[in-house]
Amino acid sequence: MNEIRTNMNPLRLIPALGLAAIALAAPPAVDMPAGGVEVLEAIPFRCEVAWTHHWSAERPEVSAGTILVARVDPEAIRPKAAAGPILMVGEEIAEIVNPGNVDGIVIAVVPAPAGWDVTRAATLAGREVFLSGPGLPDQIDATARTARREAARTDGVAPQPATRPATVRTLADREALDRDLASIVRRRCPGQSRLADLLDGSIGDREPRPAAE
Amino acid sequence: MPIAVMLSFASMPALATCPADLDGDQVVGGADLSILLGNWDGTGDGDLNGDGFVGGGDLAGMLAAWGACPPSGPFEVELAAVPIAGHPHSSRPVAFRPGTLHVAVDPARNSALAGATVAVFLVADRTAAQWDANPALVDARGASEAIAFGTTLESCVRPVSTAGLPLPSGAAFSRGYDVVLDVDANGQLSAPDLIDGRGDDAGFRLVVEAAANGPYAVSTVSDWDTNVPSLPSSYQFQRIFYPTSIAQLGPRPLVAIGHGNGFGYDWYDWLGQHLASWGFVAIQYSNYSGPGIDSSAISVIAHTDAILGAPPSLAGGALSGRIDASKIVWIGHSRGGEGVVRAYDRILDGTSTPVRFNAAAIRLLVGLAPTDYLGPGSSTPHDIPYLLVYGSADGDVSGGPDDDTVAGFHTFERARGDRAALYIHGADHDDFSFFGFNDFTGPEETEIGREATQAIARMQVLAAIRHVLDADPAAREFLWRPFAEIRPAAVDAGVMATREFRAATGVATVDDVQSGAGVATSSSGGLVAVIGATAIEGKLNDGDAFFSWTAAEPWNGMIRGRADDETRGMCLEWNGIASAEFGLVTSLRDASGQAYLSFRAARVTRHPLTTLVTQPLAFSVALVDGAGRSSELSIEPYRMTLPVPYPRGGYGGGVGWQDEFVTVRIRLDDFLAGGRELDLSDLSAIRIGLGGGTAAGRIVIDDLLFDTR
Repeated sequence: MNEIRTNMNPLRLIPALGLAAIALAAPPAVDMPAGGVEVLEAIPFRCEVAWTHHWSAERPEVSAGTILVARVDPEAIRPKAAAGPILMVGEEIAEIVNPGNVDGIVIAVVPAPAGWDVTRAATLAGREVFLSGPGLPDQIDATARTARREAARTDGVAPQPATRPATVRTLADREALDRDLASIVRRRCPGQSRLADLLDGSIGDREPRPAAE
Repeated sequence: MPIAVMLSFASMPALATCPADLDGDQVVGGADLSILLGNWDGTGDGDLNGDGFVGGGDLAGMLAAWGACPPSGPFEVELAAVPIAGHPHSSRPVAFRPGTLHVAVDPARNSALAGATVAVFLVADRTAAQWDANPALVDARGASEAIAFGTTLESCVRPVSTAGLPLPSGAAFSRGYDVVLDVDANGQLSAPDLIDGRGDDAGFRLVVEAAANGPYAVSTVSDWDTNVPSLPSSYQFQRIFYPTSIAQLGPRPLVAIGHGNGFGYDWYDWLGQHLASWGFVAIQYSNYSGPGIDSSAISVIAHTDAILGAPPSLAGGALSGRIDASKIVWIGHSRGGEGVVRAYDRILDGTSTPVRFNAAAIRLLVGLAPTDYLGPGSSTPHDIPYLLVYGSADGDVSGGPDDDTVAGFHTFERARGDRAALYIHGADHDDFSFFGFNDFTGPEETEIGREATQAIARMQVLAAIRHVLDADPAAREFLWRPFAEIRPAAVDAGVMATREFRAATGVATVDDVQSGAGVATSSSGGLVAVIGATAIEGKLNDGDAFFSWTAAEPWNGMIRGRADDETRGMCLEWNGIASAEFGLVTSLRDASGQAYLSFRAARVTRHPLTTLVTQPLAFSVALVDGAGRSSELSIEPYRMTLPVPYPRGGYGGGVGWQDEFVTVRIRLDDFLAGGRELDLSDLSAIRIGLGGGTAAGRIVIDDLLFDTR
């Protein structure tokens, strides 16, 4: 390739380059660990009512997982129309809650893997946290997720260390989880108060929620 | 005072009867005589003198009238005109902004008007029945105007004042008027007069400034929490705009606007508020596009259901029962643009089942720089009308040749309903939102910014909606006429855009290049003769990752489809005089009932013959009839020349972005202007004449057809 490609997003090349290249969306910033993500908080939770996790091809029902708060390179995670990097924890795709480019802080919901005991002490322990190559989360199936994780390992992304047991938040449903997320947004990303308002419904004309179908 | 003149109208359609023409074929002949003799001594047909029986007096009358019926008026002629700089010196559209109206006649076909001064009346639109009942000429300006015609085509295009002409009322897009040349100066529509609009369609329509706000004050619900359970909490909100006086209006069509990925539902007030001011209920919904396109599709379906099932208390009850659930328009930006297309597809294939509306209620899909992640199997508008508005300086959905997902034209190409595209030079991706970083990618001096982009988009969206919902013929013209003619008044004259349009009905296709039969045979089965040029057919898909020219990729710059899309075109390259002649099969030879010849054409970006010519590319179009006569017109006076591709670099050496299609539409009657003889009821071929305009070039053409409107 000897031509100048001034308009080309280098991230778009990654899918075409095979397994070895799909681990990292971009080289991590100099002060970032391999994988481009620095974990700041991990809060395990469990809900009594499950919801659909749209961030994978299988769209599983989810009722437990981890709230992840992490530092990222703002430019790497700026939301766009073009496919962006995918935030992964082990073989799970995290649901990104806020635009990480604003503060360099991303808040995400990591679904618990099938069969995962959410009461285990360190919910991220043994799993890699990394930005994988660009794509649409709902087009990525289990096989592709495994491949992405393997590629991350190959690229030197280390699993999270075991930490002290964390208290598992027990919540009624996704709406309650969203209220928790709102409080984290307010605490970590004070410039995103409107998002927090939307998450906890503190703005708008709210009508009584219909019974779940 | 207008001067009455004697006229000869040899070639104008007659409206008056020819009493002895008993079978109505415009000829008094043997068939009529048989009818008369069949009723001899009886009553009924053949009683020409009205004496109660058929006899010798009637026979004498018939013999006296033997032969072709004489033409008599009033004569239906297209009079409302726009001057153009070259033969035939005027085009005859329907839509006019105040102050732009001209009246034109053809001195070769209306010889008695050459050099004459005649009173022109602009009369509030009447149907044919209303004209029959009331032929009195009442000028809507308060008084008629005398205009003096010259003796040439050019000097027979005269400006006519629209001062005092009432503008469209209420939220109407246009207001119709009929044009009458009162030749005998009797103040009545009578035999020698010329009229444009005697039928049920108006002669011309005065149009609104569609980019500006409409007549209604607008009320807002800033953040309505719909509580739809299928979406996460922060994606359950929508902003609602509606006419404040909605209680006095009939049920309003619904327009739903979805944002791009990472954007907010509150970033599109520039469009939602605008549409509400024109009488729509507009919702800007929170679009869950982060996971992908299907969740975006679920968003628009859920939010549409939510507003249609909103509690009566919403907006203080103002919206209760005031939304017309049978008229819905979906607009989406970026991933939202693909989301609305996918949503329609999901409803059709049964993946989604809305509760309060169905697929038939979706009347129009609009993509503002849409993505194409899902491809032809899922992201297709099917047969629904589709509008694309897209910017050439898009730094996100760039349209680059290396990525089939950020490809704004794909969904447009798949649309089988009426489809229109507006491609704005210097507009970028985030210009279509209130906020967002500046992704402009192109020469700095070409950046037009949000204000201009949004004004252009407002105009185009409103026109498309009026075309689809109201069948407004003036709105339809906004979808294909040159941007230089139809543009927002507030946008700088230097801003450039190109339009494409293809109607789904009322067309007779000569060659859409879809048959794959090769360059020698059109898709309709006619022979194609290419002389002096090289021609190839193929998919409109640049197969490599570069815009730099290489002979190995003949479809360079074509970003209209993926490898598994089917859209095809014909490429012509010439250097000197050349032509491509499309023979017409029997079923297409009679074009007398058609109104326009239409096709689209684009220059191949960065090709040496494209970079060689820095001016818009021109060529000619000719119709050939069965007698071998032909009439040729240049596309240049119509301002439908092919622009130099937008001068954006990247993807290899050189400058020039995608191959930019322009739809060329020429009125068939223009081929007869100036007394040219051509039998439109027996055409044998359409010929694209190359080299006489621009000496050399490489272009792609497609969708050659006749259109009735």
